[in-house]
Amino acid sequence: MTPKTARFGAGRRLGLWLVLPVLASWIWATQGGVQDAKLDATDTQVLIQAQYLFQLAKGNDWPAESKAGPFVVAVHGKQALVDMLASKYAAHPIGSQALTVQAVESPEDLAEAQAPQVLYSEASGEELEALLNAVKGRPTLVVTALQPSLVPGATVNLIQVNNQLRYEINVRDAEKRGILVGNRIASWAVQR
Amino acid sequence: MGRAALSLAFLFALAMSWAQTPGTSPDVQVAVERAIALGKGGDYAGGLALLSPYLEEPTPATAKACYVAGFLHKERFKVQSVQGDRAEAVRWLSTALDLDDRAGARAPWQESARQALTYLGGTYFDDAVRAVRTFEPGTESAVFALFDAHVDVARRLDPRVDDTAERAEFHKNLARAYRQWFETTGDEGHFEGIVDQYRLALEVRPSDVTATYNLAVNIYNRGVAVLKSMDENTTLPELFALQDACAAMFQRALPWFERANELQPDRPETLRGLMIVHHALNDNATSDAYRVQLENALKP
Repeated sequence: MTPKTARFGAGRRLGLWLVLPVLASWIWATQGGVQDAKLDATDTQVLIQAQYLFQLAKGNDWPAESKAGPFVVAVHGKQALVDMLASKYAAHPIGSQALTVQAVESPEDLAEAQAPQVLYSEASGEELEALLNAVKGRPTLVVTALQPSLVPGATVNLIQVNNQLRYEINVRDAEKRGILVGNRIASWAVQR
Repeated sequence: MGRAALSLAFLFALAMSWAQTPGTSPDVQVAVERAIALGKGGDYAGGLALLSPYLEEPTPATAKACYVAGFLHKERFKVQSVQGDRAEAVRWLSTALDLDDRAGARAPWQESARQALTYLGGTYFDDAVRAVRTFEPGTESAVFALFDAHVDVARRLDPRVDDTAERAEFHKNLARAYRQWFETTGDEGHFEGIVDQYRLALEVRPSDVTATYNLAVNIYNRGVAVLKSMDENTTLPELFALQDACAAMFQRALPWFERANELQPDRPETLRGLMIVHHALNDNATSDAYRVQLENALKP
């Protein structure tokens, strides 16, 4: 700015010059190249559940009859967990078996399909009972979540312990199904 | 505007005020006149050397010499971008205005001096913005030195200037800059830089809901990123440790989400954040309560 330009309407223009940095600051803040971080809405509980199912899949040993074909992890009524498992772990085989993730909507889906090696459900009561009946005596590791205690017929129950998701395990149920619980899985289980 | 036109304008303004400077001794007037002539020819150093004796102990009688000195420094700064010249220009223009005020006068060059200061303050602001855009961790003090210089000039022109909003905005932009660094480097120090800058923004402006919310979001996202680092090679003990680490982040983020909700109740983004952070902390009952609040807030 020069003295010449200042001669005309100087007072009003001075006010404008004082306002301009504020305006520039606002434009800079709202339209600048760097945006505010977006809240990461990834379901963290699902992230942890998926990790546990993968740990259980790779940490135990299934009978010979379950070692042909794909290693199936079936998830009842929770598409978000199906998607998480598929995107994060499906590319990683369990032993020599390709990992397949299957969505299960009802016990009938289980009756028709090959017995999955792992079945996860958050159901309770009759719905859970029907699912357990569908895989009764089959080499399927049944994982429940947040049940007050291990339900008969379920092998693993995910539980909350001090802000953490941990698990309790019924080794005897696993043995009945012909599944050998791995030492690490057994040793890190919560005892109640 | 070309340099010749600038110089002409410069001379014009000075000439306009020439005959109206009471109490100015003839030798000062001669020195000022010659300094202007040298300035017009681009010999700023020569002009300043002529004025130098009258700047040692400035008085109202040498106010115009101070003004011309300030103007010469400003012109040289414009041409040569010498940083010292900018500070000197601000110093002498401010001194000139102070002396004129003290004398109870209103010299014809006052408005020109104020315009020159406004210009110089604007360059400090522009440089501060540029410093944020090219920010490197650890250079915060340089950014705020420029910003403070801008504020000092603005306050010289209008003591009522409130820099709170601008200052908070600078801290928020530095927080964003730190986030970019953190996303590239993963350096924990850069993450803490995000947190520090948002906290500084909130010290300046405690009611800034976006700073509060964004602080919460950045901390929360850090926790999620910790969990996302799990992969097929994660062991059970690592899984437990990662859960502890992310829970600590979620607990750290929660009070900021709550504070944002206090500052602006029923803001959907905040309610969604509260719903998600409580879910992440396995407190599904509270998460569901915020879900209901969010649904109500979104109702038309």
